[in-house]
Amino acid sequence: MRQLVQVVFALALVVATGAAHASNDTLVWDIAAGPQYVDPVMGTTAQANVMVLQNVYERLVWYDGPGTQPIPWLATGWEVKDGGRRWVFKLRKGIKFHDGTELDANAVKFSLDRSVLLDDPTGIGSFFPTGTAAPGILKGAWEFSKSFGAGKDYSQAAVDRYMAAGAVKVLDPLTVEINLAQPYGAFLSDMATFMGSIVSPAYVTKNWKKPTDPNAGHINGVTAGQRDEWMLSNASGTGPYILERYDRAAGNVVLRANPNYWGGPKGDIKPKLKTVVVRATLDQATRLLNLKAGTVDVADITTAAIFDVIDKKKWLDDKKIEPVIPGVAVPGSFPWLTVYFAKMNLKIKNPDGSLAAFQPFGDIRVRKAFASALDTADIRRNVFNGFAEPNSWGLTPAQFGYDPSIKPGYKYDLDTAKKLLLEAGKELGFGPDKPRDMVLISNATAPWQGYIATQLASNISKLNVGLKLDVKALSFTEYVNSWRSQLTSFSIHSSFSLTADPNPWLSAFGTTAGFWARTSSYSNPKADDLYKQQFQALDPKQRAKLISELMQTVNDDVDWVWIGAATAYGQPTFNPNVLRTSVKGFYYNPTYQGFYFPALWKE
Amino acid sequence: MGLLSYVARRLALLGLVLLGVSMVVFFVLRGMPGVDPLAAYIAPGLPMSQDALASLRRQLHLDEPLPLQYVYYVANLLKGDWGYSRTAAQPVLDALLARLPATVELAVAAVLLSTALGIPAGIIAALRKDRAADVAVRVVSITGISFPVFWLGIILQLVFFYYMGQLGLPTLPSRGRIGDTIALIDPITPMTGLYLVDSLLTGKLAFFGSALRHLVLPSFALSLISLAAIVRIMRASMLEVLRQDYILLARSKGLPTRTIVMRHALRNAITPVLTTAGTTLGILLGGAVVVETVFSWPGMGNLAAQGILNNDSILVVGFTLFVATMMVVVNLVVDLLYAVVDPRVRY
Repeated sequence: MRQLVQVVFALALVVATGAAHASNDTLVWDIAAGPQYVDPVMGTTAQANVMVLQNVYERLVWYDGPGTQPIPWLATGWEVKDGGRRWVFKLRKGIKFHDGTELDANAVKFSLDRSVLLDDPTGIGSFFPTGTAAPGILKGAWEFSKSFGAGKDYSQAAVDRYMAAGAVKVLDPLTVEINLAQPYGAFLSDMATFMGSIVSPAYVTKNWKKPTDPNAGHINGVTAGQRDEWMLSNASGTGPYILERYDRAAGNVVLRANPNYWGGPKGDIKPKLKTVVVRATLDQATRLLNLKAGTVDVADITTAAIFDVIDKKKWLDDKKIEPVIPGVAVPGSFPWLTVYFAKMNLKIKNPDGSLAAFQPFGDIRVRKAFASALDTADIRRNVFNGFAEPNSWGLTPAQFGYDPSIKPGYKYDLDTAKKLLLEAGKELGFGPDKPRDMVLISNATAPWQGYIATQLASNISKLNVGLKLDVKALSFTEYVNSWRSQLTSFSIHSSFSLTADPNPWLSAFGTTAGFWARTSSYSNPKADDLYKQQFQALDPKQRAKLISELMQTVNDDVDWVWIGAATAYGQPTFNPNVLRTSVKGFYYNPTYQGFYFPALWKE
Repeated sequence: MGLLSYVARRLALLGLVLLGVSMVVFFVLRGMPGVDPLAAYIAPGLPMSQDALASLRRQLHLDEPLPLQYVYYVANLLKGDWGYSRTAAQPVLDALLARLPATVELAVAAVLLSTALGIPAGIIAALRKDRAADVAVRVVSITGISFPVFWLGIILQLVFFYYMGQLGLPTLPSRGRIGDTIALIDPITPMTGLYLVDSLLTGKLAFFGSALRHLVLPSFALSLISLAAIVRIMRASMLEVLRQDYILLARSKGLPTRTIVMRHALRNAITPVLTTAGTTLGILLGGAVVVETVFSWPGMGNLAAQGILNNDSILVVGFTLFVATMMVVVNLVVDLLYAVVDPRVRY
């Protein structure tokens, strides 16, 4: 019995002694979901992945503080040749990877070839331009990857064909030439994303297992079409932080300041925080409690909980962010890379794939009427709690080419909507005496969509023009299937991009092959042509002009209802973060939306 | 009947149970009208061409009739291919196995805690039947089980982490399995994956202490699920035994109550408690979803919760199957353990 008491007492002592607040050289960050992997050749929409990647790895070009124009980073400069088809980068001398090997042109070639050959379905292809108007960027990459097309070929012959196409060439140890399939104005912005990260070839190759299958195409260090198990949870870049420990199951990461960091392009970057700890803390209440207690310095807080941390009335009435928790700062609001919109399907289909008999949105008057019947100002305030700005196209003010002078093809006006619908109804076969049913769908797991759909249904039904709108909340899979297969007439969406360049968005909304346009059969040859022109335009001024023209052309067709551009705390894919007031140096850069840890320190 | 044939029969039954579970899970998932199972395989918002979708559908056999799809599904399960989880970004089975030790550690700690508290409480209640102590024990245990676990978890965090910290008292961690940097200062080599065991085996006391501190609140919250059941069964079983003739004999011989209870009654009364503890272990292994979420415990339940939030049906189905398997296996082990505790039991 006595021994038992002693054991219990000893255990109690062990339990009672413990750490409390993080010290001043350690930053602890609680995030809902930890990184799933840390290989930069794989795309991700998880904030923690991106945050680790952009502090551990570096790219040829990147951003200076909050600036959004790429500046030379690992490169000292570049030359554009052959009308934008050939880019020659000069590299900085003497930069070392975390494994001690030196950065050179070969590392750049290896990293870019690796991202093409590994061809992860979430990877480069999904973010860099794809589709008929813009077949890839690196020469030969499109032929190798065929984007998401069927019939992938990962044979040695296919690998050899890509390598022979000469996408990336080493000219001398510090000069690398990149050959593009066509001139591409947004090339630098794309290279600045985490997917343009330069990895240590020696490190990757050392830990790579040569495929046993003789038919599996490969180069030394990369197996075509196959994830690299080691690099999913290990890293060796040139960045200011070293991946010290990554517990993939727990989703926790410890980063350590790189003592040999080269200092960045101006030589003034020196990490002040010795250690950065990223911890997956799924439960929001726990994250908030840790933040209040001061055991963490940063925590991500979803929209739903925003008014736990700021004063609701002050924000909604005066647009003023006033934190309500002592010792906690709430930066923002900031322009974000999320837009909310509704799309109208020009070709509604039956479940068997045939065209439905009733095609209301084939008529531009009906599209205009529906767009005019949506009170987007009310939605921005009541659904998005004021964390969304009016937008006249599917771009946010954070992006290149955003043009506030573009006009939408509609404005909120129920009288106009009524007039248009009465006119159109005569030809389409509906009217006050000939009522027709229509269904609006929403994603049941996204209640904000339900609000929007209900508002529209009630506004249209009120007009008494013979359209009876019903709102149906579908399960997530049903919802996706319904608009993807074009079974529905009208659906509500949010869209998010990892790159600040407008290219993916212009393609998605404006071109025949674009993702959103394709799933509503929107097509305008003039818009396709303008898209291609802006894609190849190297002069930013000229490109901006072409983008404006493209946006106006698409707006004149009224296929989209622009509901709002999210600001931080709207409803982005990434949860915004709140910080302890002791954390200094935070700035916001919409192109990467998060932390550059070397900029931060604690007081 | 020998032990071996008993085990063989139980294992065959295990197969049947799993077949049933997999059927229910599969047909509920695939048989739902209007749901395209392909959606589970595609990251939302990922642009894919119709060609690619069609070829993916063929590759996954989603164009075959449903019963045939089930055959493919089971064949894959048996091959160890439980599908790919978008949430964990790795194969489902790998993802679950990587998180199994954390869940086992938590569930075992909870069961040990609830038996350690439940058995004495049950004995006291039985000895003081219908008196104040009995009523108190029963009220406390029933109240414990009536609290929603997530609520209890939050209260524990508030009290032992937040308020005690505000008062400058020693606190217990609110989340996780180990201190943030302890694994860097003094890492352990994983052997069993159970932090307490591994750190003791390698003599890393700081690691052990940190792991133990992190285990206290979640295991306590989880133990309350089974505490009430154990108390009540211990009490009932003890009362039953105390009515037996041999206890009367012991009393008439003048043995002290302590000896009668500890030597003679407890051993006989404890079998049903072990069954309960065993079954509870099975339940807790699967039922730790809420506690793991509240305390960010990096186990299978936490992953399953993320999977639910991400519409990752492949992961959720895998989790369900995995838990069902563990449940059956744990029950089998408990049944076999009877023979050890109670010599009268023979197979």
